[in-house]
Amino acid sequence: MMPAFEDPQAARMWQAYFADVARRLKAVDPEQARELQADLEAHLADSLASLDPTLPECIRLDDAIRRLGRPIDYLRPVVADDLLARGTDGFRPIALARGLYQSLWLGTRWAFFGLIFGLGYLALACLAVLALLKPLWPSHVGMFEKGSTFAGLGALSDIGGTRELLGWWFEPLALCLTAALYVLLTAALRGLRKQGRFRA
Amino acid sequence: MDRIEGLIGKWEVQVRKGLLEFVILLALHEREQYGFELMSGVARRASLDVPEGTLYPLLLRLSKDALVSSRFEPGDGGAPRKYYALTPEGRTALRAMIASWTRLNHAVSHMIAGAYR
Repeated sequence: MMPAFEDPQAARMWQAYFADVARRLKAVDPEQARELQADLEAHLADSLASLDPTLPECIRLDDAIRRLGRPIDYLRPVVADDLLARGTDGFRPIALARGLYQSLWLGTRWAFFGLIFGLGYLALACLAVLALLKPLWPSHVGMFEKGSTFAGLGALSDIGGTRELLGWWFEPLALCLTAALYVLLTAALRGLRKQGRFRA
Repeated sequence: MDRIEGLIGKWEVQVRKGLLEFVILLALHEREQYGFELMSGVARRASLDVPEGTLYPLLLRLSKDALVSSRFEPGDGGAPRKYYALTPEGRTALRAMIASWTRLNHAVSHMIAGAYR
């Protein structure tokens, strides 16, 4: 709750700060976001009241805000953590993608795990895209061999001398493999988080 | 010299961040406190110069882990204040952290003494 400011500039500073907080917390579970914002508002009001009342409101508020810190610095771990929790608990790919993206900016340990899992999910997305491309480009998408050696898995523009091995089985197999690996990868991510290795 | 000071500065930030959870639990072991009171006390007594905003994500995680609980109390004429306290599980975790810290402190103190012998 915003204190009653006499200086409209101080009121604008307060509103701008909490607009930034609300924007950062948009991706977080609404109840948790409300709770955090209320905590921060109460803290800033207490901090403001603790400063020399003879100083102008703007100066005091500026000092209190500086001590509280920039929302992007202290809220990013909360956002990444919440998105990853929702992503892993509900197997939600969009929450997972957003959580992994946020984790890339949170220091070496987070970035390492974010990159490893991000690349894993990216490979799965490629496999799913290949499965969807198979009906559109049947002779160029699949698992190929040239002579008796493996020539590649994916989409080939030049298929001269190659033979596609799976035929129409490629699509269901690729989709099943994507789903199975998605579940495994997400379970591994959840396991890491339970051990506290990939948590805020 | 500037480079060394920069390195030490970064190291100090990491140490302070790492200690914050332990210090918060120690402060809550004494009595329940509201956020600003908790942070002011920690900053004054433990010289942990970290952005005050980092406290709330930490308290949120400690609540999710059931190490602290919270309740609202009427404030000084204003909005109700949220007081945080250690749960029985939090007390158990703190005892384990104190034992671990004591061992670590002992070992590092020995190494420091050796380095200056």
